[in-house]
Amino acid sequence: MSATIAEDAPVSPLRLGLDRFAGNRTALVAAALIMLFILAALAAPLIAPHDPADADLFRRLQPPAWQEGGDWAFPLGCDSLGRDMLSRLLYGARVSLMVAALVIGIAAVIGTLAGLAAGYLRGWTDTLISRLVDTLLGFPYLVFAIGLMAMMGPGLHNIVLVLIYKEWVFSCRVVRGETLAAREQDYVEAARALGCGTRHIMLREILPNVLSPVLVVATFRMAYVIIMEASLSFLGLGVQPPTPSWGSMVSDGREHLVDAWWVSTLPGLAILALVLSINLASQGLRDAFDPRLHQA
Amino acid sequence: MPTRRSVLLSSIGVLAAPGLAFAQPRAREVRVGMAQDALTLDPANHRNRETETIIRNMMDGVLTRDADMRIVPEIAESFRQVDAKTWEFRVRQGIRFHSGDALTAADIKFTFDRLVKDGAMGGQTSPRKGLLGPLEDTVMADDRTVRMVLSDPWPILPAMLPFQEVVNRRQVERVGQEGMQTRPDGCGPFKLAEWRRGEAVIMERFAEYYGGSTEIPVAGPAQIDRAIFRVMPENSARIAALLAGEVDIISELPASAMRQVEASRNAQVMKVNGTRTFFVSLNNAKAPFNDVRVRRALNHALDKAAIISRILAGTATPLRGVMSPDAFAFNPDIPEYAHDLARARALLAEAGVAQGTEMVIDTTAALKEIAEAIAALLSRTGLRVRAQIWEGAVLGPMWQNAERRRERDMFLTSWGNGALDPSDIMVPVLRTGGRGNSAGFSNAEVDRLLDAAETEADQGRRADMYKRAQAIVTEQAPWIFLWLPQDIYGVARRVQNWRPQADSRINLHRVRLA
Repeated sequence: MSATIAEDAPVSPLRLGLDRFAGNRTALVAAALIMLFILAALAAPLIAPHDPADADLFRRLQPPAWQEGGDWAFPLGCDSLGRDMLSRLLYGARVSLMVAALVIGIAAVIGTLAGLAAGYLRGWTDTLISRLVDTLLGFPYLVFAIGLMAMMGPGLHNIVLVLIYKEWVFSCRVVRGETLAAREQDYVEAARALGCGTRHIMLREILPNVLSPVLVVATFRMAYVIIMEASLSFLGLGVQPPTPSWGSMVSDGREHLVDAWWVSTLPGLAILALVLSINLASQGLRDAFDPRLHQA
Repeated sequence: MPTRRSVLLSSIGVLAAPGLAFAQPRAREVRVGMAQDALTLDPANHRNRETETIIRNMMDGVLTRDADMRIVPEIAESFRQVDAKTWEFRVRQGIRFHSGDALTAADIKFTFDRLVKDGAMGGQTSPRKGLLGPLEDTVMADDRTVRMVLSDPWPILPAMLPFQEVVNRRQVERVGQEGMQTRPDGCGPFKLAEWRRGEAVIMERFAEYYGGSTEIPVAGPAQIDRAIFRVMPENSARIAALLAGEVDIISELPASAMRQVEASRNAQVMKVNGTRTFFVSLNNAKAPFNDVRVRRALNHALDKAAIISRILAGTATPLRGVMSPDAFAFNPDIPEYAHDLARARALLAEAGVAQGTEMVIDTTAALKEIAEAIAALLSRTGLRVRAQIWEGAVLGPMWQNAERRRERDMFLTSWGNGALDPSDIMVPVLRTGGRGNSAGFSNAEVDRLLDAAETEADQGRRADMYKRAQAIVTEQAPWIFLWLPQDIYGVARRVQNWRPQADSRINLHRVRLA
C-alpha cells in the first residue's frame, strides 16, 4: 500500500528461485560437483591418461600411486586386467551420465505429455493412462528391469529402453495431478472462453505452469536411474565389456575386495558422490522453487 | 532367586544366541562351504557335480575311487569282466540303509534299472542315463551277484560306476519319485537330518555304517558326528567364513585369495588337478574360422602362460590338446602351438583376414575376467576381439544348436571329464554331432577312431586309437586349447585325513578333527 513497495520492479519467480538456490551452500557445492562430473565425462578422451580398454596382465591389480608398489603413471591403480582405473572411471562417468540424461530426458517428455493428456482430457484417456501407470508402479523396479533385460539381451541401447519403459511414469503422475488442479483455474477458464483449442490450452497455457515440478522430479529420478544402470551393469545385464561402467567395475572388483580394495571401492565412491550430489542439488532446487515453502 | 546381574547376563545370552549359533566351538562337526545348493537329493535325477558331492556323503556306489583316482569296490565286494559285454559284481553282505532295510542285489538291480530304463522314474527317464552308455540290463545271477549286460562293449563301465549311488528299492516305493527329491534313503556314512533349501544340507553320522571300501584305509563308521554343507554363493563370504572358523572346508577358492588363506593361522590351501578342460570353441562352420590357418593363428596368438601365471596364480596346467595329463590314453607327444605373435599375424594374412576384423568371444559372467584377458591378448594380432557376457541358460543351448550359433564367433567354455577317459570327453565334444560339440568340428578319421575305441576291449589298442585322435584334433585346432585348472580348496587345519580329489568329490567319511 505504501508507495515504496508499489514502485519496486516485480521480481520473476525464476529469479527468486535462483537467488534462493544461490543462497544454499550445500546445493551449490553439489551442483559444482555435478558440473565437474559432466566436464570429466565430456573431456574423458582428452584427459584420460590411457585407453580404458588397454589391458596388460603385468600391471594386474597394481595399487594406486600413493600405496606401496604404485606408479604415478596409473594414479588410481589398475584393475584385474591391468587397465588404468582413472581412465576407466572417467569413461564410466560417460556411460552413467549419458544413460541418465537420455532416460530422464526422453522419459520426462513422454511422461509430461501423457500426464497432460490424462489430466486435461480426462475420460477414457485418463483411465487408460492412469491404469497403465498403476500397473507399472506395481512392479518392483529392479525385477521389472532384470526381466526385460534378460528378454532383450544386454547392451547400452536396451538399458536405456528398459529404464524409459518405467521411468516416464513418475513425471506422468506429477503432471497429471498438477493438470487436474490447473484445468479448474481462472486462466484456463479464460482461455477456454476465448475459444482457444484444446491443444493450445494444454501446451501453451497449462504446460508452462506444471513444468517446475517436472524438473524437480526429473533431477530426483536421475540419481535413481544412475543407481539402476549401475545395478544392472553389476549384474552383468548392462553395458558390454570392454566399455567401462561404474556398476560393472564394482562387480569386477568383488573378487579382489580383500586384496585390492581400489577396484571396487573407487567406482563405488564415484557412484556415491554423483548420486549424493544430484540428490542434494535437487533438494536445493525443490526448496528454491516450491512456492509453498516461501509463502511468508 | 536370580540376581539382577545374572538376569542381565542371561538376557544378553538370549539375544546373542542366534548370532553365536554358528561361531560356537563344536565338538565333532565338519562344515563345508559350497558355492551351490544341491538341486535334489535323488541321485538319479540330476546332472550336477555339487549335487553329487553332497549326495555322495549319504549314499554309496557299487564302486568308488580313492583320492588317487584308483577305481575300487565299495558296495561290491569284488568285480570282474566276464566277457566284452558283461561285467559281474559280488555284493557285500550286511549292509544296511539308513531306514534299517538290508541292502541286497535287488536294490542294485532296481537302482540301475531306474537309471537306464526309459520312463523308469514315474514315466520320466533319468537324466543320468547317458552316463551309463550302452548299459542295457542289470540281472541278478543269485542274491549275492549282479551282472551288468551291455548292448556294445564299453570298457569304461568301471570308471563310470562311481558316479551312481545305490538307492533303497523299498524307499522309492514308500515315498514315490517325488518323495525321493527330499527323502532319499542311502547306505552312506551320513544320514540326512535336514535339508534347508538354499541354506544347508545337514547330515548326521550313521552309526550302523558298514565302513565303505575295504581298499581305502580307516574303514568303519564316520569319525565325526555331523556334516553340514552350507550354501555360500559369494566367494568373499565363503573365504571370510573359513577364516572365522565358521566352516572347515570351502570349495572353489579363488586363486586371488590363496595368499590370504595361507597367511591365516587356522586354515590352509589344498590343490588338486581338476578334470575340466577349458577351451575356446571356434565356430568351424563360419568364415574365417573354417580356415585351419586362422584357427592355428589364434592358438599361436594367445599367450596362455601370461593368463595362467597372472590371473590363475599358476593354478592351471596348460594343455596342447583336449586330454588331461592324468587321464587314460593321454598323448604326451602332441606338438605345441607356441606363443608366437609374428607367426599368428603371418597365418592370418595368409588366410586373408584383414587387420581390424572384429571377433566376439561369448561367455558367461563367471568367466568374464578370463574372456576379457583372452580378448585383449588376441587383439595384439591386430584383430579386434571383445568379450560378450550372456546368461548361461541362453548361451549353452545357443552354441549347441548349429543354426543358432551360425553368426557367433568364439565360445569360451569347458567340459568336465570325471571319468578321466577320452570316451567321456572326446565323444561328446569332438565327434560329429556330439551333444557338446559347440565348435561344430567334424573329422571323418576322428569319428572312425572314436567309434572303434568305444567298442575295443583291448586297453592298449584303445589307448593308441585315442592318442591318434588327439593328434588329429590338435593339428586341426577346432578350439583355442587352453588349460586344465586345478581345484583349489581352503581347509581348516583342524580337519585331518582329508584331501581334495580330482573328481571334485568332498568325501567326509574318513575325516578326523584335531
